[in-house]
Amino acid sequence: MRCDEFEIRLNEVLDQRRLPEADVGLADHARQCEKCRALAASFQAILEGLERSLTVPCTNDLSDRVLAALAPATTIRFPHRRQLMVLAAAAAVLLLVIGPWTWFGGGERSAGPAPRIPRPSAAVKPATGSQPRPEKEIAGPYRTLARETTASLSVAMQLLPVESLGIGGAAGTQSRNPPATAPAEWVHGLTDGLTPVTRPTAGVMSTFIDLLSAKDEDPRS
Amino acid sequence: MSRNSEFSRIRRCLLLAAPLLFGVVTIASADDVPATLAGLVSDDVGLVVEVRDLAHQIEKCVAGPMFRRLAHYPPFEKWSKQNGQFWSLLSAESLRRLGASPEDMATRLLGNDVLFAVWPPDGDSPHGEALFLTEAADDQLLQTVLERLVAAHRERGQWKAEHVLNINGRSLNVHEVETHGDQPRLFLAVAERLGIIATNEQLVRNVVARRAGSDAHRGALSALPAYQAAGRRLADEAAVRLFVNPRSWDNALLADLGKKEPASDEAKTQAVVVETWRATEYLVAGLEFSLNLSLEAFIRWDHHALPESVREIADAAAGSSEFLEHAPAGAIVALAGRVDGSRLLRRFGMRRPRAPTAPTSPASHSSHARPPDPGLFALLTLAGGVGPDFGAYLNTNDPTAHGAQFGPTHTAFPCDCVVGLRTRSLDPNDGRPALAELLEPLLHRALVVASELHNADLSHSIRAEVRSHEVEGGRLTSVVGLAPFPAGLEASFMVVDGRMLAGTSPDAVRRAATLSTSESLAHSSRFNAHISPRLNHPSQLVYIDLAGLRRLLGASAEAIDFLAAVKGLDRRAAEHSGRELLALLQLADALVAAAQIDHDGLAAGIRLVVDAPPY
Repeated sequence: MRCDEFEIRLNEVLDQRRLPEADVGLADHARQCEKCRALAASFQAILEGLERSLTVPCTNDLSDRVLAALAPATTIRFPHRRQLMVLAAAAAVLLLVIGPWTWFGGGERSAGPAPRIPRPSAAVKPATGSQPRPEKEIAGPYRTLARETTASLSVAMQLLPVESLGIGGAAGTQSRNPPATAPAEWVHGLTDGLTPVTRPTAGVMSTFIDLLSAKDEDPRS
Repeated sequence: MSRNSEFSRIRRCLLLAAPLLFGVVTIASADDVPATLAGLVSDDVGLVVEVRDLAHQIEKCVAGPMFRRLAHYPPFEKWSKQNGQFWSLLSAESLRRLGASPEDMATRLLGNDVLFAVWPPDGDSPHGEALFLTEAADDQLLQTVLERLVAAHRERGQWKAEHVLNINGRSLNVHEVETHGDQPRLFLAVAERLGIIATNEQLVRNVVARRAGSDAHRGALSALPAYQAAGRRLADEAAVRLFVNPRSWDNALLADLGKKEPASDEAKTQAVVVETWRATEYLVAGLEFSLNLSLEAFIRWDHHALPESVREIADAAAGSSEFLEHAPAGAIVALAGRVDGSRLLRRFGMRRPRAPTAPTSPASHSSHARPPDPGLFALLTLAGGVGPDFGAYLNTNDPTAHGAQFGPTHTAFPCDCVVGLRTRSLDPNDGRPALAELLEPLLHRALVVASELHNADLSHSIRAEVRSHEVEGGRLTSVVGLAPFPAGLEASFMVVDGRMLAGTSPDAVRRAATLSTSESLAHSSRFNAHISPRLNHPSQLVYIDLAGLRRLLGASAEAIDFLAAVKGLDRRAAEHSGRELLALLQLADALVAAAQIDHDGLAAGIRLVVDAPPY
């Protein structure tokens, strides 16, 4: 396992609320690589800290006070809930604009199974060494929302006779790997044909997104 | 004051105002600063995404009814409670790295106009070129964010150079940074309130020159007729706008097609895509989210230049659906569409199977000389009389409603479903009745015979019965007790003016047959408020009155019981599912998905609408 694979795997394991040390691949690599061991430990510490902090009763102005301490010159005027709404709306707009490109890999079809997370960078360029993936960090909470919403939709759809549309059925029994149909082939033909448009567009969008990925330099392999 | 003196005063005012007005107009027309960011971009751009007035749009959205409903949608409510700390951390991190919180970014940096443009790859730029512009409300904050970004890239060794551009006597500092080795470098600059990020220094130079009114090498995007026409196809409220300029991509598409093996399936499919692309004059899409959630797109094409197969499909589904005139205004769910099946069958169904590539016996060659399959021939003959309009709707079946004539019907589900299909003469010029009128006596007789056979079978405990009712001089036929129809359901049909109407009760069919145009969905003020004015003659439509569905499911236990029985759910699971469904339905009051196909192009849209509060 390489260091970049370690980080991806670590994120997946933590997303699944499992212990990193229980994963054989992660444990093997962490034994050999001090940087990755430190990374896993820091992630674990953050998660444990967050879990503990969730049980601590907080005053409403905690975030304001933290932010004020970090940047005295800047003030947050909105109350917490409103700020949350504004952020959610802005994020939703960005996701609606950028999401389709990134989710579908900018017109490049992946040969393997569908990825669990959006991979804007990986879809347009091969993974070469360590690469910042802020979108993955940001996508984490959205995945939770997507999971919750999917579960809710799945339960709601139990009542509706929509199996023929492939979206009904009991929770967790949605169609997996549906067989290729003529419309699907047509859509694939269309997306393939438009690759000269979608690929460069996704590529330059990825470059711009990476501009914001201000991540500390990573000396790992 | 006399009338004359008053007139003189007005005339004096007008005389004074005229030069003033002339001066204002002259100054405005001579103003070098383009009105929108599209004026800073050349007209050879391939694709543009614009976000307009984001701060105001977000403010309206957050204060709007749909967002309030979303805030109470259980998964969102739970998520927002759980992720409050994430947002605080993100906000703090954003402040640390960029000197601006996400809220500041959304309002003071990106809150006015934002533009992202992409140019296709060519020999000089194999990756393509891109440009990001933002007209910030706060130039100080813009400068701070730029400095933080530059500092961050300096720390990581990704800052490459600082260039000083002299344009029209003004100097502009441009920072060159690297994101990754295999990606183009980016050039960052701030010119007053304009933030510029580009993949090419020349793009920065062009923007600044255009802003100063000195770059006339190419026309501006804002003056491109296709861009102007595309803008008129979108709602003013569309906050996010996508414009695709197909002509800029033609060479890239043709070059890619040229790399394919000409005889391959891939090349043939791509040739159709490229030909369609070349017939497309522009593509535009807009997203509106402030009050309602709406996504609309329009493809403007040159109909004659479309490839034949695409033109046939478009023509077969084009036109305005007539079924909206036959669905009642109170329909909870309505589908309406147009597909000229016979045209498609004639065009695509009569193709012979592809000749096998492997060597074949002489006998197999003779098979190509066989006449068409008789079944297919009969199907094609009948298909000539079917369509193109069809539709279906679901409506509450209140037995106490005005006009109910045929007594109580089934009570299993408190809704009636009606399906309609337009038919026509098998040959347009033969003067014979429409296909449905020819088939009606046959279908009636077939049901009578089927009922007699059913009743002769002693294994059936329920007797089947065929009933006839006269409705405005026509015959309405219904049947009850006949397998496979569910017990209690009185399946009914009638032919009116060549339209075959079938429904789950005689009253439902009678109401459909006698519905006046003024009572139809097409003339419902509520429906017309929900549908986009750019899609008000849809060829295909799905309409769901979420408020009506909510009322039905919330007030009628029968509906939940019926659906639970159909799906085989136990009581507890059905109640749980019903609660989730009601929570989902409260997000909006109507869902409209529509497509309008005509000679000019294809417009499509999907809208989630919240009813305006009654005042």
